[in-house]
Order: sequence, then C-alpha cells, then structure tokens
Amino acid sequence: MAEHEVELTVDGEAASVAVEPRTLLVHAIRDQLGVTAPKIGCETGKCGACTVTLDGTLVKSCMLLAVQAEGGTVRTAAGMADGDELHPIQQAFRATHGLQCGYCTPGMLLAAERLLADQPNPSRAEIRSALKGNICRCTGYQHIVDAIERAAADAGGAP
Amino acid sequence: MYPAPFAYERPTSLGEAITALAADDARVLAGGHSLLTAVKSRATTPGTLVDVSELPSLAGVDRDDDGLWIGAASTYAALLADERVATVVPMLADALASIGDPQIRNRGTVGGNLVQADLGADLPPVALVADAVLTIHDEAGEHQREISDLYGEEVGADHEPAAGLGTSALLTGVEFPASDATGSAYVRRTHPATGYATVGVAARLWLDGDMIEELRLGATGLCRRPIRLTAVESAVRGQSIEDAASLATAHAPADVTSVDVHDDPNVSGSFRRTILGTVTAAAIDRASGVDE
Amino acid sequence: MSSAAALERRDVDNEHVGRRVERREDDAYLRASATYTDDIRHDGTVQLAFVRSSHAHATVDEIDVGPALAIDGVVAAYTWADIADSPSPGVLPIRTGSLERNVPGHPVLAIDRVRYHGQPVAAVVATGPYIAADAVDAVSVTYTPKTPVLDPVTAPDEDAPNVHDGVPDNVIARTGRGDPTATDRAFDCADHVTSITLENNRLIPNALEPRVAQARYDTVRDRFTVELASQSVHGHRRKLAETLGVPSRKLRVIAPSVGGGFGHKGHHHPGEAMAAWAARDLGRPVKWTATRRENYLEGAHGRDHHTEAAIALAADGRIRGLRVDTIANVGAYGLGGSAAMSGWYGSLLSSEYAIPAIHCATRGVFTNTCPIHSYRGAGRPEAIYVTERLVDAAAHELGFDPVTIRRHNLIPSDAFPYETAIGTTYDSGNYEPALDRALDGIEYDRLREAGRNRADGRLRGVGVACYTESTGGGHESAVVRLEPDGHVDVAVGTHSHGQGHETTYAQLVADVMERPLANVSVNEGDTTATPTGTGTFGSRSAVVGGNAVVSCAETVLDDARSLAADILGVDAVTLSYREGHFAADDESISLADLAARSYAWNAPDGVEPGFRTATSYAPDGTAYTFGTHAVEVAIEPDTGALDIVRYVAVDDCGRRINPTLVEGQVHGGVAQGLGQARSERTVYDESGRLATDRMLAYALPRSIDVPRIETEHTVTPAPGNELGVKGIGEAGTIAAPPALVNAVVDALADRGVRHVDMPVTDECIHQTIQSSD
Repeated sequence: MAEHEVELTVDGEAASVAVEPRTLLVHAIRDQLGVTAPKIGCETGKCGACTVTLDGTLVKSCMLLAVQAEGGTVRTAAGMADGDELHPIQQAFRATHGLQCGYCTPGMLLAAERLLADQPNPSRAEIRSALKGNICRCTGYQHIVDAIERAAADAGGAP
Repeated sequence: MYPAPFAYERPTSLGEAITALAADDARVLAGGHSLLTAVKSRATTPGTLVDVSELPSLAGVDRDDDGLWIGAASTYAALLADERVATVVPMLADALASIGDPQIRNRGTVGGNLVQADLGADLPPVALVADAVLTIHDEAGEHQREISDLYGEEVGADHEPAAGLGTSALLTGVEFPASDATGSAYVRRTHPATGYATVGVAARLWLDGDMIEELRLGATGLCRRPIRLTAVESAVRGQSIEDAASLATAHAPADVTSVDVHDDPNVSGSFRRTILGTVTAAAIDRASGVDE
Repeated sequence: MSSAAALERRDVDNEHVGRRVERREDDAYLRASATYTDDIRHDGTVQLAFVRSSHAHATVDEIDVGPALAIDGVVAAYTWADIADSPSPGVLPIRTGSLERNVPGHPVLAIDRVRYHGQPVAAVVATGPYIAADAVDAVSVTYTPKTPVLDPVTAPDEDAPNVHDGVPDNVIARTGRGDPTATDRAFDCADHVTSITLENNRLIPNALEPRVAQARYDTVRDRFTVELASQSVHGHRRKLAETLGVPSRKLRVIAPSVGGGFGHKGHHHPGEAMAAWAARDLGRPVKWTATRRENYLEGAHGRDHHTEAAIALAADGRIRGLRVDTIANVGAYGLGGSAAMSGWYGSLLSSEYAIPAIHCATRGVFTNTCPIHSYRGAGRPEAIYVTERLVDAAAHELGFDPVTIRRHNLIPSDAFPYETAIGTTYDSGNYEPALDRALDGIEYDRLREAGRNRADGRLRGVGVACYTESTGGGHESAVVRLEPDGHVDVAVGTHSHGQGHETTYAQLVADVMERPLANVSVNEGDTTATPTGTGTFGSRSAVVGGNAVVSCAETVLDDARSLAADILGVDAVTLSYREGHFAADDESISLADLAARSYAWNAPDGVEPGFRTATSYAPDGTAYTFGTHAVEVAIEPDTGALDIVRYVAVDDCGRRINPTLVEGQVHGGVAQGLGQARSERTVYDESGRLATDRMLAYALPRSIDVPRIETEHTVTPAPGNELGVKGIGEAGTIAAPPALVNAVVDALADRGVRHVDMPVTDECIHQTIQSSD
C-alpha cells in the first residue's frame, strides 16, 4: 500500500513520518519517531498503557491510525517534566509510591493530568472512574489514587 | 495487533465520501473504536477505510423545537460537554456517560456506536426508544430513515455494520425528536471484561401524577440488536409508578422468550435474562426522577 | 560482627531501614525514560513472529511456508525441520527429578503434532512486525484434528485420549506427602468430618508488559546476547543454553526494565529461544514481541487445581486431621519444574493451625491446554485456599463462629520452630495478635451483631482467612565494592520487576556503611555484572538478596577497617567508624581515601581493589510470613451484585525494610487475589480453543473493581536470617481468595450455602442463591 507522509508534533518536536495506512499511531510514535513513552500492553484498547494526548484530548494511541493524527500535536508522558523538575503529578506519584513496574505509569500520568485539569478536586470514586481505561497489575490502584488525591491537594484543589 | 494492509481515503466532501465508499470492502472510519479493534485482530479486513473526520457538518449539535440534531461524527465526550443533550434527552446523556472510559469517550462517535451496534452498545436502545431519525447519504442523495429500519431483524455478522444501512451509505446525523415525556433514563450493568453493557435499558416515561400513562423501553446486551420491551411496557401502562419495579421484573422475561440471548465466557445468556427485569426497574425508577 | 548486630545497633537511629524512603528508580519511570526490552533499538533488527496452532490437539500434516517467503520483506521462515537440522536441541528443558516418567519438553516449534491451541508451529522473520504478521497469515498448515483432553479431572480415566504417547493415563507426577496412616486414624477417631470439593481456578498472568526478547549473535566470538523481559537472567541463561545447546558462557542475558512478572517472566518460553536461534541463523539482531493475545495463548497459565479435601475434628472444634487429594492441571507440556509443582503445594496445608495429621496426594496431569507454571504464590494460594475454606465450612457445620474455630486451633506462639504434620518447619509465628488486629480492623463483633440481613435488603457477610507463606528459598549472589571515590557499587543476582530493589538494597547498604543513599548504586539483571545468581520470585529477594548485600557490605567495611588500621598504625578494634570515616584518637581517614588507596598500584598485599566482596548467601531455613485478612461484603439478592464494603489486611513479614513498599506489595497482591476470586475466568471452548484470549474477554480487575485495602502489620522477625526479614510479594494473592469466598459463603449461610467456586461473579452468586432457595 502507498505510504502517506504524516506531519506530527510529538512533545514539542515537529516531525514527518512515512507510514502505511495501517500503521497504528503508537507504532509511528515508538518505532519511527523513537519516543517510547507510550507502551503497548493489550492491542484491544483496554489497558491504556499507550495513552497520549492528541491535540489536548486523551486517547489510546493503539486505537488510532497514524494517518488519522495527520497534523496533530501529540503529548506523551515524556513531555510532562519541565527539564529537571518533575511535573507535580509525577512528584505526587513518587511521593505516594504510585508505581511499581512503571509500565502503566505513562498512561496513568496523562489520565491523571487530564482528570485534574477537568476536575481539580475529585473524590476517590471519581479518580477511580477516571482511571477505568488504564489497567495496572502491580499497585492495586490504591497508591495511584493516593497520588492523584495528593496532586490535587498540592495544587490547592482539596481542603 | 497488526492490521492487514488497506487503502485509506480522507474525503473532504460528501460526494467524495460516497464515491470512496463504493469501493469494494470499503468501510467508514469515524472514531474507529469498534472497527479498529476488529481490524487489528484481522477479524475484519476492509479494502479501504474512508475517514470521515474532515467532512463538513458531520459533528455538532443543533436544537430546535423539533428536537435535537446530532452530527454522526460527534464524540461521546463532546456531547457530554453539551448541556442541551442532557436537557433534551436525559437518557442519551446517561448512556453516553456510561460508555467505556475517558479515552474511549474522547474518540468514539454516535454514528459509529449506532451503526456498528456492538453487543451491549449503549446508544442503540436509546435511539430506539427515542424514535430517532437517521440522516443517510448514499449514491441516491440524502434521505431520512427510521432507527428501527437500521436494526430490522438482523444486524449482520460480528464486526459488520448494521445490515439496515446498506453498503456505501453514510450516516451523517441523528435527530432525536422532541418529546413531551415526563422523564427518561438509561441504566446498565457493566460487563466485567468487555466494558460494554451486560444489559442496559433505556426508559422514557409519561406520568400523570403517580400513574404511568405511557412507557417506552429499549434494551441492549441481549443480542446484536437493541430490542423494545413491549411486554413490560404494556404491563406497566396505566399502573402506579410504585408498582413499576415489580411489574418490570415480572414481565421482562416475556420480552426475551423468543430472543437468542448471547452467551459469553463471562456472562451467560440466562443471567442476562435474569437481570433484565432489575435493570429495567432501575431505569424506570431513574426515569421517574429525571425530568425531560 | 553479624549483619543483625550492625543494623540492630543502629535501630534507634537507622537512617534508611524501616523508613518510608521514596524510590530512587522512579525518576526514570516517571519521565518514561526507563528502557524496557521493546524500547531498545539495534540497527538491522528483524522481527520474528510465530504461526500458531488453531487446534487444541492435531497432527501437523503439512506446512507450506512458500507463500510467506514470497512476501516482500520476509527474511526467513522456519519449521521444526530447520531446528532439527541445527546443532540446537530446540526443546525447552524440563526438570524431571521428581517426575514419574521421562516426557518430552516443549519444542520451540511443533514436531508433527500440536498439543494446545496457540502452540508455535512455524516461525517467520521479516523486516518489521507488520510484514511478519502478514507472513504468519500466509503460511498454510494442514492439520488432522485429534480429540483433545480438556478436563483435568477425567484426564486420568482409562478412556481419555493421551496428550503424550508415553503417558497412557496423562499423569506426569504423583506425590504423597504427610502420613496417610496417622491421617486415617485421625479421621477414624473424629467426632466430625467436613468434606469439600473445590476448584482453584485457572488464571492467565497478565503482566502489563507482554513477553519480549531481542537476540544478537556475535559470529566472531560465537556468543549470544539476549535482552528479555526476565525475572531471572541467570535462570534464563541456564535454560536458554540448554535449548540452544550451547554452554552458558556463550550467553549474556540482560533484563532491562521489566513491566511486571508475577512468576510468568521467570519461565522459559519458546519466544526467546527462537529469537536467539534465528539471530545465529541469520547473523542479524532478531526481535520477538508477544502480542497480548499470544501472551494469553502461550504464556504459561497458573493455578487450575481440582481438590477433594476433608477435615476431621473433635466435638470441641479441635482439628484432628486433614486429607487432601488434588488433581493439578499441568497443561500440554511441563515447563522447567512446572510438572513437579503439584508436589510442592502441600507444604502450607497446615496454614496457621496445629493439625496433628495431614496427608496430601496430588496428581499432575497433562491436558491439551497451555502449559501451567507458577503464578504469584505458586502453590501457596492453592494450599491455603483448601484449608481456609475447609475450616470455615467446618465451623458452619459445627455451629462455631469461624473465628472461634480458628483461634482454637492456632499454633501457639511458644511452639516455634513448629514442624507441621506435612513436614515443613515454620520458623516463627505469633498468630493471635495479627488475627485480633484484623478482627478489630473489620469490626468483626459489630458485624456479627448486626447480622446478615440489613434494612437495605442486601445480605452482609464477613470473611476471615489466616495464612502462612514460605519465603526466601535458595541462595543469592551479591558483589559489593567501593569505587575509587568511595561510591558503593552493589550487584545482585535478583531482578526487580517493580519491587523497588534499587531502593531497598540501597537502604540496607547505606545503613551498614553509614553512607547517604546517593552514594550507593544497585545493579541487577545482567549476567555479566553478576556472574551468578538466582532471581526474583517466590517472595525471596529481601530475604536472600537483602542479606547477601548486607553481608558483603559488612565485609567491605571490615576490609576497609583493616587497611585504615594499617595506615593509621593502630589496632583495628580501636577504630571507630562514623559516616564514612574511621577514626582513632585524633587521626581519621575517609572511606573514599581508603577506596582510592585500594586501587593504587602499590596497594598493600591482600587488599582487593575497592575491597570487592562477593558472596552467595542462603538463609537458615525458610522464613514464614503470616497474617490475617478480613473482608466485609454486601450482596444484592436479586442480581447477585456484590460489593466489597471493606478489606483489612494484617501481615507480618518480620522486619520491614521500607513500609511503603511493603504496603504496595500487599495492595497489588490483594488486587490480584481478588481478581482470581471475583472475575478472572479462563475458558477453553468445547474444541479446546481458548475463548478468553483477549483483555476484552478475560476480566482483569480495573480501578473501579478493587476496594480500598486497609493495611496493618505485626512484626515477628525471622530467626533464620540476620536481618529478620520475610517476603511479602505473594501474601495478598494467598489470603484474598479464601477471605472473599468465606465472606460470600457467610453472607449466604442462612440459605444453606456451604461453598461457591471462584470466580465468584455476580452471576455465580445469583445462581447460588437461586439454587438454595
């Protein structure tokens, strides 16, 4: 099949990749642009390890074709820190042990960031609901929920 | 994980889209959240995917006295953010909120949900109860179809779009006609593995005081098309809202006696039948408290 | 000076051990810059993919790889004939020590016959994964289906077909543990006997990172380098060496960051072997990445025990004997020691109770299903589940409260070390305080008073499970040395795949050496960095690895002290040591200075550069973790919908190196245990095809499914290792299933329900209620 040139900006870097129509966005980002922050965990859109934002919207990058992201701006968890300074949500994950093997973490971080942007002071139930699309096999989710609650509090959202 | 090759078209006009869809094994790609799962597993191998994301006026909401018009490519998230949806069709807002997870709600579209009509999809029963009217474009131009046409007797094989649509046709919009109902709601039990509804019921209710004047019910999760629960509807008509729950539980089995209810490794058909009454009762109860 | 002394002396002012130190490895994970195997890119890499059996049981009549080879970008296609023509055996080694018969191991590609759905039949190699997938589709295989053996319980029957020709009854291992005569006598004299038939449901491990390997072959040096998602690089090196038919020294195995393991990534699978084999054949780097579906089809499954058991009691509720007969599904092939696993499982059948007579008979049986191996807990959850269910059932039958009967039978705290009737020796225990804390935590008395039927129409139940867990087996290697600037370099043979060893080992070493954490580096997961080692599984790393690094660090410090004494001209015992400085009177010398001197060309005789110390540590016996978990549930009778209202976990893993990480292990273990108890169901259809082959069909716990887990602890140090630590990685997977099932059965007890099998789904509960009414 003919290849398509796709323009993408990933974590601030503009790039052009030649892809087949069937190439999934996650493969274009990982294998062609070398940004390995989004992980591949399932293939059925269930696990959320490949979560990125596309033009500000939280998406699973294995559930889009690269050609569908043409001209889009992708942000991965690798783009969250400000140089040496971790993003406050990343800091909260570290402070509460919100990760073990780290494989779900890039997706969890972005899901958390999106949640707090929409809802600065979520309840624990709301946090759990916002993480429905991200599977973690290590933490039992508890320290992840703690991390997001803490990040909200640190940002002044919670009492 | 790795789709088989296919061609990709991104038309910018309806005419181009209809032409592209005339190709062999062409499929509409909107949010892709039903289609791409099947394409990735190679359970379906389309020849061409026709991406409708750049077609004009396929997304958006319009409200007038006649009802609520929704562009077929509107995402669930976009609709949830639009207050008019919950105001005009509360059961639609309920259904949208119960779909998948934030990432899926950001990409999945109303048109895809209705046309793909996966087992346990949340929107088909809502559209059925609302008597939604579909705007369809094909080689013959634009025309309107009743939602019930889409779900005729059969919906088509797994991963295939609803049979009633016809090939090379494009759903461009859905009209939810204005209703004078008292309230409506959608309630589901979530499948532990798929995340779709194990059973979901949409209810629209007309009340006169405590008396149920009229009730329309649609259910999903039982088979690959949404079904109306007419036995419950007639049993409840004219009865007190207080008695609705027990009547729903008693009569729901009659609505699925002739239905070949889906079995899967996690949930049996018989359990789906079992909880249908309870979910229906919950939907009626919720509808009685949600003003339309 | 022993390690215990080193750290005990510092108990009051331990800088790091016992504290909630933040993980040092997290920065890389949070930045998503940690490298997992699939993230590595080597120039010229080609992708390997498998053609897999679409049948559970069939002969392979013909394989045509021609159409695959015709695809542009396809580099090679292999069948067993290619392996047979090579110097490699190509069969995954099976440990046969305790097995009845010699049976063939798992061939990397099928030899004339396939024995489970998803078994690799052929392999293709292409320039990328998409083309490799096209090539897989293009290979045509002709099969003649045979009747599959799917039910392990009837597999030994005479009329059952045979999975392997040399095993007419499909039984690969038969073991008997404990004393059958004493057990018979106990049952003969019993006032009451409670029997139960139960299934420990088959699970599919789902580490979020699928299995993956990248192999390179150096044609000049005839050496392989294999990077893979592994819990045990040394284990994988040994097994890969056998499969490839090369000496271990020809293999370097590296495990980069590993995205979860749970036992599954300690096992040797065809993927890494085939990648290495193809790398040598092609002279190019070869990568193999399992898709999730492949992980479901062919990554070793877990559990799948079918048990008939009975417990004999005196009228006062005292347990007299326990008799267990288990059929353990092995799947189609033994992998490593998997076939022998069914024999190990009896070890914990005594749980926390003084049971005078136990007998456990097991049969490991072949079926035409994916091979089964150890999955988080590995025999322990299966054993504890049997006993904890039986004790509950007996209590209900005799009219005792389940807690009363437990308390009545607990091994008293002064009885340790305690040899159980099955022959295991529990090193230590103090069970009642943990039980009490769990009961206080869940408010057991209040729940009992409030009863099962509540105003909201839901049925309430409370379940309690006590458990013991054997942790810290085998030996572990460590190497500690100072770099010339005094920085401490630690290498260990374990491998963290989420446990946080970079932090916990550093906490230990930093305290022994009185250095800041930043001055300690921890390296794992490379057979070159640690020439020997065992790996991370079975809740062993803190116990065995932790003591190994501490022992090395102390020797390093002692050797540095000797050099300091020489330099300062004083007796070593007169030297004080504080925070990196040895001092005597008014003279002092720093560790960094000593380290630099140890590397100098004129270093004194007998001084190792960096005081490099290597050790292989083995604890004195097994460390037994224990505890009690309690759970409250509410059930909607009309639909069976179950809500876990509260979950309390009280665990005793001895001394806790990092309480936060301990709690993280408990949370994760409980979540997986609840996954087994509530939702995870593995289904092969009638033809033997795996029906639950995707995350959309196999119900893993999501964020909304797992309750908040309230953790508490007691501390009973392990006497058999200097640090007094015990493992905690598997506790939750052991305790949660019986606690939850006990709670559900308790909620339904008024309706005469005595048992429900896992997974206890809403449907299962509803059905149980229906059939009891």
